[in-house]
Amino acid sequence: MLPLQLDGVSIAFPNPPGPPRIILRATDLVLPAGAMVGLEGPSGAGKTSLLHALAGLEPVAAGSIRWGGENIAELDGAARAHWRRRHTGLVFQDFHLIEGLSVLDNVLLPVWFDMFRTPRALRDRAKALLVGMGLPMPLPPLAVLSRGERQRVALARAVLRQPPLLLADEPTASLDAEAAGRIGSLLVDMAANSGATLIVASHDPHLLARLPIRLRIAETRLERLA
Amino acid sequence: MNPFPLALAGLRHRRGTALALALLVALGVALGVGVGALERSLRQGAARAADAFPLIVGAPGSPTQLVLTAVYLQPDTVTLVPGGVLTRLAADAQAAWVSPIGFGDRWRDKPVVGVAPEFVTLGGRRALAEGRVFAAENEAVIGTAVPLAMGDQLIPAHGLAHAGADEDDADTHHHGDSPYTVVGRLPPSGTPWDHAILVPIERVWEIHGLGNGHAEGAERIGPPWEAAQGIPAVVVQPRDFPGAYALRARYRDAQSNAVFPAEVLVSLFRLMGDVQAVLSAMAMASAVLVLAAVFLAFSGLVAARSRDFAVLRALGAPWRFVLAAVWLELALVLLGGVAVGLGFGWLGGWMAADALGRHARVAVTVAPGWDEVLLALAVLVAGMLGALLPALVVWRRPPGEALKR
Amino acid sequence: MAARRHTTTRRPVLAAAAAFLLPPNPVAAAERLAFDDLYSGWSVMGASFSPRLLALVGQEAALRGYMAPPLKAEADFFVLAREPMALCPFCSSDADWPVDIVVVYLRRQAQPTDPGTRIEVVGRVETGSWTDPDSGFVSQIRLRDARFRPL
Repeated sequence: MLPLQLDGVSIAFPNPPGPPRIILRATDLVLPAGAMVGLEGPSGAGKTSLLHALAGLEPVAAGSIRWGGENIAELDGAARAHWRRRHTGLVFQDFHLIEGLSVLDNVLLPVWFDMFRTPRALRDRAKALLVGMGLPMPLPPLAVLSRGERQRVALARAVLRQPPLLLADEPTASLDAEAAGRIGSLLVDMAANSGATLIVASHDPHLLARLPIRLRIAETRLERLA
Repeated sequence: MNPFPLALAGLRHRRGTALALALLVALGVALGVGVGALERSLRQGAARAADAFPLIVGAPGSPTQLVLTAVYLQPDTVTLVPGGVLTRLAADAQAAWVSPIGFGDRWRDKPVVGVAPEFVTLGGRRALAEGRVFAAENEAVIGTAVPLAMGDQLIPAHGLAHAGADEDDADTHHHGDSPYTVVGRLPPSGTPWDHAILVPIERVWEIHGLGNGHAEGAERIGPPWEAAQGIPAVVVQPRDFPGAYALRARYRDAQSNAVFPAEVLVSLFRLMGDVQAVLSAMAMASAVLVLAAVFLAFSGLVAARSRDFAVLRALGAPWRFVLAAVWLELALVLLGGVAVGLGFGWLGGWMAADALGRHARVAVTVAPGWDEVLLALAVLVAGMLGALLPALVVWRRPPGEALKR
Repeated sequence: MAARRHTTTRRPVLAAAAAFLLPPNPVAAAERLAFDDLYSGWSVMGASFSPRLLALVGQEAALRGYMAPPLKAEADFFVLAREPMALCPFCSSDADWPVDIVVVYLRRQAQPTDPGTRIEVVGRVETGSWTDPDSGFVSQIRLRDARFRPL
């Protein structure tokens, strides 16, 4: 639901003792709201760094990143955290679930950033999401879930509050083919249903094939594939 | 915001480590609390036992020995104070009442002590639990721990050497033929006197062939004693404050020595306090070491979970949430440890005090005191402030790095 | 005169903790009193309190003297005397123990100081014959809610 506009964005990170390592050089890009984007490129080319910059996890060296008019490149850390909380859902290659929390509580985790009590509606929605994604009921302990099931929990956490922006970093890379296919479908369907802008960094050709817009990052340049 | 589930999840996930850390804190706190509670309760128990003895007059010699034998009934041989001193004291205008303390005889393991009726009632300030004060030479008032009933009779055995000796032991020298009859019982005092059997001093003198302390033919109980004999000690209740000091000064001469038991106790306590100060310092040091160890262990724990915290920040958690979650986790460990340590400490102090008190026949009760609560609070506050450090370290680290592994 | 706090020589750490957690004693605007000020005259009927002492009844006053040997261990009171009780075995000055003593009831129990240490006590003045229910002793002049410090 948010359009993206990059103006002269450079991304670099310090690489002592050498000069800073340039990931991306003076790049412009415009994506419409609700776009579904696949980001590809060789390993180490900076897919994750670009994704982190787009999510406001890391500052950029230069340029502006506008999501629907708001330039997140000029926000400070606390403001970026607040912006992320409101606008993004993140999915990682290694799920990054919190051990020790139950499956349901992992989905509800972002709710506690703002609220002491979890509203009934959100709790019901979390359960419905898990059921809809085919997790067994009653929910088993987190420790016994398969990798595919864990990624589905992580996906439920990302979409719980219907963010306008879904960012996924290699969401299928650590899954077997069947689980990868399932996660890919869920991710695309979720974004399509909610109208969220979806950006997926991936190597997975099956997943990339389902995304209409394709970007490739290589040698500090971002190019749009036909 | 609600960081509790996350903090609890952290503790649950590493419950072994969390439990070990809490136990470490508990032991550190328990040591300090136990030492403090034990020392305080021993002091209070010992001081309470001396309440019935404002001023003790004995033969010249060690005040400590005088107090130990007269107040705490610790068996020892003492030099007698001449009867003339008792006669003078009984007539002294500055004394509200006086009573001889004539110990030496025993019934089983209970000391039989010759006293004046005034001592039984502490000059009217102590009511009997049962019965009445002795009114004749062959009557006795017993302490609450003496296994006899009203109307029972007893024959004391003589001599400290035979303390605890069997009654029909051939060596045991039985006094006289006529027994004492129990006519009254003292209320419990939590002092060695709970085990004592109080009899008229006149009878004690008579049994030892010294007459009854009164003029020829007089059969009274209590002062004045015109023909008082030597006695191990005299307890004196002064009429007022100046009187107390005047009596103490007046009866310090070649014949007698007068001391406030409190003087002896305070110097003993001061000694005990010095020992306790050393123990306290050691306990404090151990608490500090324990806290340091807990912080080290916890810093490791936080480092091991840095990915979790990076995830929280990636998901948009505000800094106060991450801070609160990390801090809360350590704070809960500290709180649990301090609470358990406070309990452990009091329990340990109580058990040690009980064992020591039982040995000295002094009731020692360990009541929870503010000193220990303050100590525990100090550890808790220091710990909770310290817990902010690992929490701040977490915030300093950029979240992207940890996510990229 | 800084805030007069209890001299608790032991457990300095706890005292520090207590000072941290408890509100500080208000600095008392106490009037300095001397032993010579206590009585105005002596007669066969006994001593009569001085007008200056009577004027201070119910108010805070400061008095300097020596702690007499303790009558009770673990007690919240002690006796304040004009002169230290002689510890010298050759002196018999104890025999003429002066009657102008003041009984000090402490706000909080404290360890007695050495008999040779001069102290200053601040407390609320109370006069008249009164029997302590715990010890059975009678006193004429008392300082209540008192605290002391060594000089």
